[in-house]
Amino acid sequence: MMSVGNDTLGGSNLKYIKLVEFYEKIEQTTKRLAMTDYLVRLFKETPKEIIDKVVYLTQGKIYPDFIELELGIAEKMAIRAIANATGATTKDVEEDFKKTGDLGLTAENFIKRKRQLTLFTKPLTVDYVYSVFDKIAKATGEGSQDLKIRLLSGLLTNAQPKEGKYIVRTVTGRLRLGIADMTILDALAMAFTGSKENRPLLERAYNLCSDLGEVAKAIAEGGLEGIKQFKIRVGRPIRPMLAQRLATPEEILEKLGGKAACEWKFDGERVQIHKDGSQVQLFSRRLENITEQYPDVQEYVREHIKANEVIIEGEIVAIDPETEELRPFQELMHRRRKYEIEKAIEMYPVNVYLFDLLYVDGEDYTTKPYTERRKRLKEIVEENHIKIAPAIVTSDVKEIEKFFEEAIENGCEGLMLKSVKPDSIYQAGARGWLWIKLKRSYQSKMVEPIDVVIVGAFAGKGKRAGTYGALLAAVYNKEKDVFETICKVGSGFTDEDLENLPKILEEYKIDHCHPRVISKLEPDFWFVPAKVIEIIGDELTLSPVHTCAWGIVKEEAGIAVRFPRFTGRWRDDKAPEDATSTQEIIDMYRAQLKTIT
Amino acid sequence: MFRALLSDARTWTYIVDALSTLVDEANFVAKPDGLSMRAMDPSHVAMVDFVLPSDAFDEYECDQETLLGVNLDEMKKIMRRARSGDTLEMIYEEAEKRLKLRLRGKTVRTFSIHLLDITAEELPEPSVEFKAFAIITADALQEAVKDAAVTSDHVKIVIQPDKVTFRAMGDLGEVVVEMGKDSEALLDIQASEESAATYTLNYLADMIKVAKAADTVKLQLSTDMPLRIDFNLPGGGRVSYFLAPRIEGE
Repeated sequence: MMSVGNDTLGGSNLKYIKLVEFYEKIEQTTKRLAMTDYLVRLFKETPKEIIDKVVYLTQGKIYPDFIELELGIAEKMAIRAIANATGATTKDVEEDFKKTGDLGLTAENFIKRKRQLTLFTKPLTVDYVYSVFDKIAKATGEGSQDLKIRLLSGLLTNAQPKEGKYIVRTVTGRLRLGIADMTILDALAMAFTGSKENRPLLERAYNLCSDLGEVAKAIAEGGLEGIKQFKIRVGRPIRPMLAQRLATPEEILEKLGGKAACEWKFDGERVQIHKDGSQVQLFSRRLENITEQYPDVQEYVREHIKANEVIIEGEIVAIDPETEELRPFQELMHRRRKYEIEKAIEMYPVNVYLFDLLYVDGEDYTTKPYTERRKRLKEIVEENHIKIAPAIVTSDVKEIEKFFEEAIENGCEGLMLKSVKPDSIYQAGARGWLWIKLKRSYQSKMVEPIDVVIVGAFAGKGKRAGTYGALLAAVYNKEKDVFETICKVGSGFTDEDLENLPKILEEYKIDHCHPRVISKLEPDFWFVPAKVIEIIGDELTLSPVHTCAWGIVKEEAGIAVRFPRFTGRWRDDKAPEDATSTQEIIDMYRAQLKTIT
Repeated sequence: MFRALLSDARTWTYIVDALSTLVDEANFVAKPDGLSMRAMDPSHVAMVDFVLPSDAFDEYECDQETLLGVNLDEMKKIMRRARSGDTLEMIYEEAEKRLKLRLRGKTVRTFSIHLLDITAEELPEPSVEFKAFAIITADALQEAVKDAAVTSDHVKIVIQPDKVTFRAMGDLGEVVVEMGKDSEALLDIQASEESAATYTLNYLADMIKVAKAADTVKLQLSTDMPLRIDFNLPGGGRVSYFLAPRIEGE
């Protein structure tokens, strides 16, 4: 495209075409070393003020991942912008797109074909292109679609064909050069310190801020010193520490030096909580900003975390609002929405179980050992809907197994075993051997409901004050002629059921455990085994507390129902001895036992 | 402060019509010596440069440079309400950031429009060395553009030492409009070399709207370079357009 006048569009002088030439080279190579070399050259040519922008653009982004704004140009909109900018009809553009399958190539084609010249060609600068992308991302509300299209077509009007190709790919989220974070860190180290040896320092900074642009700016402007001084800042997520996985407690203990802190590993959404005064931000494991999904969690943090500035980690878990029993992970997915959040909060309430503290009031805790972090965490949390994940410190395999079964039975995924040695720091962004997961290697799905006998009850709290929070349910052991407990069930009852429960059970109430009931739990009320109800659960699991089939499948363990709920059916037609039998439970457990991969 | 009076409101109607074809919003610049505007269409194909000096107004007061950001469509709607014989008074209300347009005829009608903050880049005048020019009547240009549109969406303008030719080639036929030295439409012509370039008719059609307010028009071009069209307004002042050429078919 030729034109008449000539001046530059945008301030800083790195031309967008330079970036485009780099994109082209990268696309033609698959070798990481070559990629790194190209990046080094690009970074060296880039003015320091815009190095962060260049870093984002090489990854096809304009912000770090934890910033929620996205370019968000739909193909349809991009097609209109290409048509506007080149004088073609949208139909022409659509047809060409059908052939190319790449809107970037289509844009390139149409810009090449453009016959109408412009009065001024303004060579695009990276700075200018970025500023327009930024405007596109930030346009919201009424008329924002048109504005986005206008902004994009304005860019394309001034673009050379191959610039148009990459502009369109970027705004539609199709620029996939496959440059890994580590490649960028390598290139930054080489470009600004002369050696790849310094990458670990950059990596550390990256792990503390999750923002390659910020790291690039720090090294370009402050050099190695700047990078060494890099600090955690509330509001900028820290890359999460990850865990290894081993199959048995024995192996894990050996790896951790014979002793471990064992924490319940919840089946929810891992969250990194940043609190700055009354401002709370929540980041997912993948560092997406999920603050808006959890106004309730924000509130819990504001009210029950006794520190001004803090970064803590935990797991958000769906709970039964009445009993605070954990609910399966799938229920939490109902909270992944943008609308009717209030309703979702009510229907799918959550608790937060905290397990780590990374920063508090000016002090970086990531470099402190586990026990110190945990101790400080306990000091600042006023347990409510925000709690501290149950944990024990032990070197006893049996104790770990028991704790593990308890965790599973209560709806957890398993345990997280953590080093308690003096070097047990928080390794941001690393999957090291300081944390090791112990998950189940098998599970037994529950495919049909069972009939259980009510043998006890726990007093209700809150909304359930005056009635029962959960019932203690048992199955019948024919050989021994006793009732063995299998679960506590508190879910699935209607308000009416709940109201009636005390009345229905009143006549069976006794002040001690019935001699034919075998229980390790001490409920608030005991009943004569009489009433039978139908329940269903997700799985049958091993349990350290329930006595059903004690010691048969595994030593020192019984079988329990995981996530039990009342189906609504009172089996008044059944005598307690007609309830599901222990043997049936054992058979069901074995029949459905499958290895989890 | 800024206040200006035009004894014929329709002059302003034509001007606003002409300007609004290229841009939706733009800044008028009021200076002690007159009112002006320079704006480019979003695709950078055409540019308008308008100047109305203070003495083209019947009354004109302006003590300092003032930017008046205007939505031209709004202004156009108001000016459509002007009746033959109306006078127009424009008053800038600084405190309220509004521009009042007062039409005085049988009645006095005052329209206010909110002014906009428009951040526009400085636009230089395209630097082109023109090798040829022709001055023709505004009517003749209007007719030539309409003739060309019969068969095509673009027109080739050729200026030779002795004539101007408009040539439009379409799939179905060809239109040629010639104005030679003997033509009443051609008032002056000069060409250091034969110059020709092709332009998109859509743009030209918009630009000639202002012909209603002008008697004559000056066309300047060089081969395959932008076209400059100057309309001199009767009471003084001018509207100039720059239009980038098209590349002819492959």
